[in-house]
Amino acid sequence: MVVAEFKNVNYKYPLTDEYALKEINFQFEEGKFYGLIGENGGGKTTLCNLIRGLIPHFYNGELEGSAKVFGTDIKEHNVEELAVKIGYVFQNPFNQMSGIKSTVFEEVAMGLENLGVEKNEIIRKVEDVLELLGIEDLMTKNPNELSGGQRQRVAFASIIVMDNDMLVIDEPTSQLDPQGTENVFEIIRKLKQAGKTIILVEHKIDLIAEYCDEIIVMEKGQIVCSGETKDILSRMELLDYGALIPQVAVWGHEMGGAGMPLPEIPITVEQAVRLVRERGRMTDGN
Amino acid sequence: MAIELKDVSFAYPNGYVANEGLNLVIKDGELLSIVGQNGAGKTTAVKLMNGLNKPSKGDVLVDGVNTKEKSCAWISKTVGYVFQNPDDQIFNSTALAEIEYMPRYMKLSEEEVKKRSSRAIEMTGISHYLKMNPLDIPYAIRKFVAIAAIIATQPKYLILDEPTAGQDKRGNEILENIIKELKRDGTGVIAITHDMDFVAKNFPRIVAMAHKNIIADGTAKEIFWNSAIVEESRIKKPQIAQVAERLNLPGSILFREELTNALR
Amino acid sequence: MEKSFIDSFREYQKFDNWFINFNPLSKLNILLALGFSSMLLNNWKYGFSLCILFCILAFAVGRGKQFMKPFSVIVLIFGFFTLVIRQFSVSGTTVLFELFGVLPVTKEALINGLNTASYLLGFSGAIVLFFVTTEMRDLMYALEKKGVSHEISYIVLASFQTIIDLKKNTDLIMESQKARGIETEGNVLNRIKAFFPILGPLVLGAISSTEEKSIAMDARAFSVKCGHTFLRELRPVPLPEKVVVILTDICFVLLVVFKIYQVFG
Repeated sequence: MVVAEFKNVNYKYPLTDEYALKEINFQFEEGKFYGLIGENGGGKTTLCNLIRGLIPHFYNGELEGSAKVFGTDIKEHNVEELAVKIGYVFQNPFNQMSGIKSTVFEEVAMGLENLGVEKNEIIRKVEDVLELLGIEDLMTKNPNELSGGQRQRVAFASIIVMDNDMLVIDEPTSQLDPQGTENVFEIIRKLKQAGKTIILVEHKIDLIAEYCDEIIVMEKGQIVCSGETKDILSRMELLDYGALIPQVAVWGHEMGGAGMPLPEIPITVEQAVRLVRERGRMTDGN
Repeated sequence: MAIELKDVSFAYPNGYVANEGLNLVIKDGELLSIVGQNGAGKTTAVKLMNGLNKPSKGDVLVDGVNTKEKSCAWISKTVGYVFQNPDDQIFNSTALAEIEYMPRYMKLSEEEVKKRSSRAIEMTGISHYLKMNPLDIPYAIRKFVAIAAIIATQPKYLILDEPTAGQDKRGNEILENIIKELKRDGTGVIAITHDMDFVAKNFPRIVAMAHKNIIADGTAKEIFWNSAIVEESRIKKPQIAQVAERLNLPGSILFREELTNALR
Repeated sequence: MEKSFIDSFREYQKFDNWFINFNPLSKLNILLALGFSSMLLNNWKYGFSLCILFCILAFAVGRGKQFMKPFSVIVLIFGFFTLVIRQFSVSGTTVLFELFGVLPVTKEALINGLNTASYLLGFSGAIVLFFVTTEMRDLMYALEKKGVSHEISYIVLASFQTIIDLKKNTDLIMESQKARGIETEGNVLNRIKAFFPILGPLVLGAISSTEEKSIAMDARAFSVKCGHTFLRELRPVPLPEKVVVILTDICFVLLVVFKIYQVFG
């Protein structure tokens, strides 16, 4: 099923001359995990804002073409309700805490309170989500005194607890260290298992390669290519678009250039190891 | 001349000890990267180097001057420091004004102000953004405006706190260029970063920190191929090194070319 | 520990003692009535008895220290100044003694001063006692239940965290500017020069984080129009508490009527 569909979408922010989105044609399918990559200023965050209805409801500007989310034109959505249906986690963990709750448990419960969910139901859901994300140990802590990595996990919990079918996640790890990054990706993996539709903007290409189903590459407001992760991230031309590909993929191409081609181009460490071993067996066999 | 940390400990006013018994000498023009988990004491340590933090125990000498005896602003002429978030620094209404601010504050001649600013602008590749209000410049590029503003003061050592965070491919290339250019000018660079590919490629010397202290000091090969250090400082090995390790290849491989050659 | 923490939300919030357990609005009502009564009576014997009562109450409910800290400052400043000023503004005839041998201290001015000080202190004592025995979030909860919008409630509650965040940000920006070479310490000129480099990023940072925060809160259904529930609930006001509040209010109204009668009658 298609959850979001864009046809010939062009968009300009107010008071700007240049299009931030140009000729966007894309369908997001239910339950898939999309990695949105490319240069800074290439339109990744703008596309996220469009999906969530912040464009055109929060940022005005000129929107052309047809943009449908959950089958309804984006302009006709009630933006307050859409903001809840599509969960959102972003870069800065500090600005995602409400600042009015004194424990993580209450912080996570806030969204459900706002929706008028019955109290025992709130407690059950919050307990479940804390357990799912493995952050039960934080529940009595003050959210305003946590480290960046801990706060980002609480931010995820606060969104996931509302049981959205779709999540837009914009550079969730750029302020975190490797451990914090790993914890966040562990959460995203669980969300994927739960069948959520996920759109993730991220620069850490190794992790994108490992987790995403599909990749969308953006440059100068356009989608320059998209498709299955393995197919896209093995292409050298991504570098020309200002996007990155994993080091092992670059190396895979170099192996071909050195006259030792691997059976295919690896995009993860796992694949690289397997392909080297396969190639070893092939050459032994000759 | 050098930055010298001699058995330095640092505790915050609330009593939290962030560094304990640091010993480190950073020579003129050296490129050094500090790696390790958040909370390991990296930022506290670099703040000791420019006098933002004064040691609770031990001494920090910057080109022979004890940091306890001078203000941070004074030391910053020798040791420049670019904070992680450019928005804590930038306050002028155009990028150019921001870059020229410090040279003017230092009462340099107009000619010198222009000379230093244009060198900084050239290095950071932001010539298209000079007339723009910093707020209208994308965050990742704003980071370069902040870096240029410090480079324009021409410090002898430049500290960069997580310059790679949020940068794309082009941003990383510009950073690499900045480091090369600074090296050529004889400026030392001390960078805190979590991007290990970037570290391996650009820094001949790496200091790994964990539990408030330095646990290792060496080359990329020495650090990334010592599993005890990698484990303790919770860093992530570069991908190519991971492949080489899984294939049990000898020679502490870090780079693609080395891996290709090892398989010949 | 975690189990009992979670279960604490299933019931009404329990507090360590009866007074703190009072509904915030009942407490506010009673304390305001007492505070205003000291103003109306304008009698130092009543006013100071009330202050002593507040002190005893504060200690009895385990908030003695928190109460005494601000209250003693108020006593020193308001009390002392009123007494001194009244010596100059009220001309009395009964001289008690002469301060430093030249300044006469009169009985009339002293009593007038004591009366004024006592009602100021009686009133501020009531306010201080209210805030040391009531958490802001409980007050806002009670107000929200009475129909105050949750936007207002959010703004009030978030302002406390905002102040803490602003302080942290100021420190960070100061460090950042020091680290680039701007002197923020020393003579006045240095400090004035450092003003814009600190204020600019602070204001801009506050604006951009407010925008981000509002987007983050909207993702948590902040603007969805529907009835809210509360994870943390206070008990409904029990009958005896209602009776106490009503009796206090009746006494207060009687006092007002008496005062009006006294003035115009």
